Amino acid sequence: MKKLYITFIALFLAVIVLPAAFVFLGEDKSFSDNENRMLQTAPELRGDDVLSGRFQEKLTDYMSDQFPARDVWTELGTRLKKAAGFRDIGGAYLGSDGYYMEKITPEDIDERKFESNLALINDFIRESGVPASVLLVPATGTVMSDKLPDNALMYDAQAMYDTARGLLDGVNVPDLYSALSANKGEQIYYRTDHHWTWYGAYAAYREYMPDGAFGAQRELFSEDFLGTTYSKTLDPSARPDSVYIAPVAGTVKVTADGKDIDFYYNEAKNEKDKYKVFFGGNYGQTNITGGCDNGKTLLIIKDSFANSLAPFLTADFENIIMLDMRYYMGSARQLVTQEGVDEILFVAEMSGLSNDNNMVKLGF
Amino acid sequence: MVFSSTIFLCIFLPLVLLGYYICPKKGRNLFLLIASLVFYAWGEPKYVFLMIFSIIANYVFGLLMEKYRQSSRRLKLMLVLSVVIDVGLLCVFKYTDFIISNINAAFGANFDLLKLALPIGISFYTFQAMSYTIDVYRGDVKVQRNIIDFGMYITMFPQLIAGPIVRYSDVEGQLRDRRVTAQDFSEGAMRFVVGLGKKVLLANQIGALWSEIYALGGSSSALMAWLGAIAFTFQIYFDFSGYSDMAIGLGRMFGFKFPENFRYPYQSVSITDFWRRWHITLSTWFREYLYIPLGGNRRGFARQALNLLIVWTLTGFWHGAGWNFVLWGLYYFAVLFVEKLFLLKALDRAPKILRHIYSLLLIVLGWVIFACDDITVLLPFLGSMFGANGALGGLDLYWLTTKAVLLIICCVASTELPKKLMISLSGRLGERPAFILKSVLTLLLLGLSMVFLIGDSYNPFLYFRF
Repeated sequence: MKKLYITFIALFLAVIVLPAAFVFLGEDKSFSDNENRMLQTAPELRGDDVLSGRFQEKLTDYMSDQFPARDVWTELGTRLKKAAGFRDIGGAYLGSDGYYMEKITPEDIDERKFESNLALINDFIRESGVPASVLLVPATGTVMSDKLPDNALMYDAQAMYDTARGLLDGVNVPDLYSALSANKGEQIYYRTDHHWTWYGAYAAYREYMPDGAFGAQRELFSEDFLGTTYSKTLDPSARPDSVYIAPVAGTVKVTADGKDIDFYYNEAKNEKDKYKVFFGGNYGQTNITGGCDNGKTLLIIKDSFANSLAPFLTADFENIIMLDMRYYMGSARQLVTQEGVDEILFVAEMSGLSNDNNMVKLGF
Repeated sequence: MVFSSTIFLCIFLPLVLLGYYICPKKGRNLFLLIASLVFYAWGEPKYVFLMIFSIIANYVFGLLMEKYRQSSRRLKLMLVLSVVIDVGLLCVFKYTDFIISNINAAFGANFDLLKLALPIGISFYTFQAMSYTIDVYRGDVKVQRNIIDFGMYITMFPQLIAGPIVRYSDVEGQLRDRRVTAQDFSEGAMRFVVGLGKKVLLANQIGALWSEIYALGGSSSALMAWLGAIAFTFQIYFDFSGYSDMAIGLGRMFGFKFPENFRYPYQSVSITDFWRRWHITLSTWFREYLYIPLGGNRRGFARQALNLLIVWTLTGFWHGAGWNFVLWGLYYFAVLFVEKLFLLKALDRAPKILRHIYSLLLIVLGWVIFACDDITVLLPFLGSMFGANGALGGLDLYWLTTKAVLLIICCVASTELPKKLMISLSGRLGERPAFILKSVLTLLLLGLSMVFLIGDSYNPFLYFRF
């Protein structure tokens, strides 16, 4: 018996000691693509850090962040949870047909903030005296409700349009929910990312500008996109999405926060987040000029959904200024008069707008 | 530091085991004392000094009581002083803000809150220290002259954070002399892994459901409210008893035999029975050091009722500085009192299944009071449970179907069934094969727990760097 006890003890110790050995002897990873965050690397032993507890905190994170084959274990955990009947992991629903959709229930909507943000938007539009539209983008699960797990729940997009129409007077609020629903024959949202695809963005474009000049051209950019909602679950059975982009005129020039950038960021092909193909990400102010030659200027106040919508609009506006209020620190009001803005467009996913703290900056 | 973390499992525990076993026997208590202080200091280094103060104070009062053994007045004075210091520290660090905010609310005053972080485990180690001084006063244990042994008893990291509350008399002999066989160590490791699994695989998972439902603020369908209440019922059991299992298992790996803390409480046939099975070391403490000294049941029925009221109010308050905990204590006072009056006799004649249903219903309702630390949520939540917002709605069916397997596992795991199965299987297999089977299952459970621990550290931060 004693031999058996010793064998068990040795195995037990091996299981707990080996990971630490790997962590301390192996090389540190500094960034996790799937989590889109920096990982804790080996902390430096410093007296004041020990006294304040910072060192202990870092060492704790270091051990879990650098745990050997961490993604493999996380995938295994997802498999087990799925097998046990779980249908949402890390805040994403595991839907049918390979859809991973953000889980945003009615309780996740801050109605009061949604209304106060709409009021701020309304003030901004009224003061600028320019024709304006507000594109409220419904999240994947609302439109693709047939792909949700049984008995799952999303926020009520229709009710939020009603709220918005009641609060925004004289503003065009297209019903994107219906427009997108009418195009469900195509893949309007990514299955593994929270954004809309070329088809979704194009349907929204048509709803916003029925006479828009952009044709229905598209080009394949990537066939192996595993986006944010996949990353939440790390489900090994996920199938990658294809990313299509809308070709824009060669004369288009883009500056982001004053620096020249490419319209399409080709490097995204080699990065995890293929949605970054649109401008390479989000900036405080993006200026797009020269897509056409009509002298018209559009101001877009937006979240990342607008990045894939903007290509279409280049055919209808010579100048497009996109502001992302999360990063833009200037005065949007002054910009409207300075740049001679002809039209204003707000683009935001509804639940995002209902939790957004940056709309007050519109008053600056 | 918490047991259910990779830093504890993969670094702290192996290092401490290594150090402990290469240390000569004489130095082992000192080594454990230092290791325990490091363990304690991990999160909140400053409070180590509070703990050291507590150790020295109780140690000195023990010596003083020994010195004044002949003078009952001085002896009593020493005891009173030590209790005042222990309870005083507990009050200052745990209850001050609660008292201030209640004074503010009652008199419209505006005193500033101290906003002290609660020193981890203070409720546990204070009670352990008092078990020593009170027993020395009573002459039930010998005074401890070795401050290292005494300090080690107060700080022992296995039970420092969440019990069991080990009375000094439980381990008095083991402080000096204890040995560990390979069998002790294996069984300790197995017990530890069972506790880890309870915590990581069951408590954390079902606890996530409770958080979702609690976040609704008390307003939900009846099904949802019951699901939430049941989820919390499981969460607190697997969390707490898991911690006790880990503590008992770790203790065995260092040669200690700690008292059991839980005995399948959800199999109780009455609430009186429940409190003999739930957090046994706490109930024992209150009985030994409060209820019996107050006179227990020996001074007439009215006095007994008062004693019970005092004990249960304080039991509730011990669990946390909030009215819901006081209410929870009073709730159990009321139920236990009614059981003592007549109900227990009536229950004895009832079919067993009814007694189980009766007990579980009251236990679940009790946990609702306990869990609603925002007391304004309590009434709406109870209302929801009894249909104030309809029977069905929201995500309730979704949760019911997607968590069904987890709920069933929790049900089975909270009973004696797995243990009985294991015992009968061992009987049939024989000693060696049974041990091999247990080893394999333990290692699987350990691996699985680590998989879920890693999964918990997986934190997509999706809008970072945008």
